[in-house]
Amino acid sequence: MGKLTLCTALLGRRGFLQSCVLLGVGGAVFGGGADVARKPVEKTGYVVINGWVLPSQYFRNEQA
Amino acid sequence: MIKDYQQQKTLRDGYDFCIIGAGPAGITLALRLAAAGWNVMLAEGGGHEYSPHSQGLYQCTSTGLELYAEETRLRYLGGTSNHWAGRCRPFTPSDFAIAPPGDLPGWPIPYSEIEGYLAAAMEIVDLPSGAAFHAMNTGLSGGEFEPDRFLLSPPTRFAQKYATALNETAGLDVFINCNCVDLEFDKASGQVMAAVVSDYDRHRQRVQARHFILATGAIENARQLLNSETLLAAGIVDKQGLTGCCFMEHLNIDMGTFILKSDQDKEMRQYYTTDAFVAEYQAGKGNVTAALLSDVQTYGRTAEVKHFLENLACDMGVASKIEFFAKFSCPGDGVIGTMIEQFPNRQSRISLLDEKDELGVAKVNVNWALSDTDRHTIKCIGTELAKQFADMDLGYVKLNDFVYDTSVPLKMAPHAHHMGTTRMAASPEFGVVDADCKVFGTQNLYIAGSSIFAKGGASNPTMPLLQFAVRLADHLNEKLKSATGATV
Repeated sequence: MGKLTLCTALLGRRGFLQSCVLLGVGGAVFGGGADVARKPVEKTGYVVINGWVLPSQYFRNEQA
Repeated sequence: MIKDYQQQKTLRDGYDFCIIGAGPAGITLALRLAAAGWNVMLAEGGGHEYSPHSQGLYQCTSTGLELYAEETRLRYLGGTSNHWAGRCRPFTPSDFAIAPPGDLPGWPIPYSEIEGYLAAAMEIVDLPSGAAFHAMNTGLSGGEFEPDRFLLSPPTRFAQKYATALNETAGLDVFINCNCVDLEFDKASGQVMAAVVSDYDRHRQRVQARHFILATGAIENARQLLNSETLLAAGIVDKQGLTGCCFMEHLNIDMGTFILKSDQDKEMRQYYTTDAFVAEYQAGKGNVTAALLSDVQTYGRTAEVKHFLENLACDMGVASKIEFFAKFSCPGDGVIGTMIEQFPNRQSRISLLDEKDELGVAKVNVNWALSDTDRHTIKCIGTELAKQFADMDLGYVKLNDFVYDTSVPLKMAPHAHHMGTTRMAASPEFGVVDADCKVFGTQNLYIAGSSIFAKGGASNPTMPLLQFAVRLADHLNEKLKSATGATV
């Protein structure tokens, strides 16, 4: 739990990136075989905050 | 006829088959081979019922992950089927076609080798003939998780269901309280000449047979091989070799919790990784079960969960929103459990201690160990399931930190599915038994049960190991008929 505890006063774009784990890149790292069914292109990225896997669209700061 | 070896020690002069271990595999082989007309001895170390004395011979030390090796097995007639839960899911072609990561190969045979024995195995465990393995729910939309498909056996208790057959099948001698304590191997002929059996007072006797089959579970099968001084002296078994290596379990990971959106069905959901998932992430297979907590089923969700969903969608500023979720702590609506494939690795193994048990058999140490590839499988299944759960608008998943951060020690439990310690391979360089389940370097020693599994997959092993047992019975019947010219 402590690993991802955030401090609001110091939180900026950099803190956001350090505090969250960006998901959704697995397919780029581990290429699949050409003869298998491929999943559709992902609609959205995800972040992990305190273990919660949440769509990153809810955490976009238009000002950043 | 079932006889108690403590009181009745009269053996036939020579059996066609001596089978050690009367669990599902041993009973299946014994009944089929005896029904085919052969003289069969089936030796079971325990009695008719559970006894602490017999069960105590399963005590072993552990230098690895906690396996509960004594409690998860049962040492009496019927073996571990006496507490089997009954879940059946067959292997699929990809279990046999895809090699595990690392330097060990997968199965040396295609799935088609055992596919034809599925109907027989289903009948053995009382599944309806021709029944489809059905799903409880739909799959997830990303193509990586399909609904798990399975059937439930009553479950079959082998000692009860097959009691009459064990008593009345001609040519079959079943001895309870009859413990195998040694295998005598003759290097010149390549034959096991005798199995040495003992009662609980250490009265020993040699059992002579044309063929010997070990069917005592993954820990004991390897233990019997490693315990035989003559197999070791002949180089059939090497203490530093593959016998006992590649011990595999199915991983029961507490993945975390989830919040279910209010319009979703509250029934349990069970998913299974697709072949596309395995190919894309170079990961193992797994079953994932998402089940609502009983309190939520009964009383509905908590106010905290409603607050979670409101805050996620609201425009409260990124920093405040992250702070809210970083501090959010509640049990959620339900929990996520798994049954995940472990890949074979040489460090996960059983070995023998210098200390002997009361019957003179060397005691066992189990070093159950996972590899980085297993942590990768756990991480991929957890994170991809969580993403697709949200993608499908089912709700949101909170993963435990050890799922997505492989530097955090893993918390998990075993499923009591012991596999791989006498793995099947095309050559002795990579395994202990050949494609016919015969121990490499021997002419007449065979292994039955999930210890022969080259890969574990994520299917419950009982029904597949019965497919292999029926296949082995057919093979041995044909082999002996050819050798004797018998028309049976």
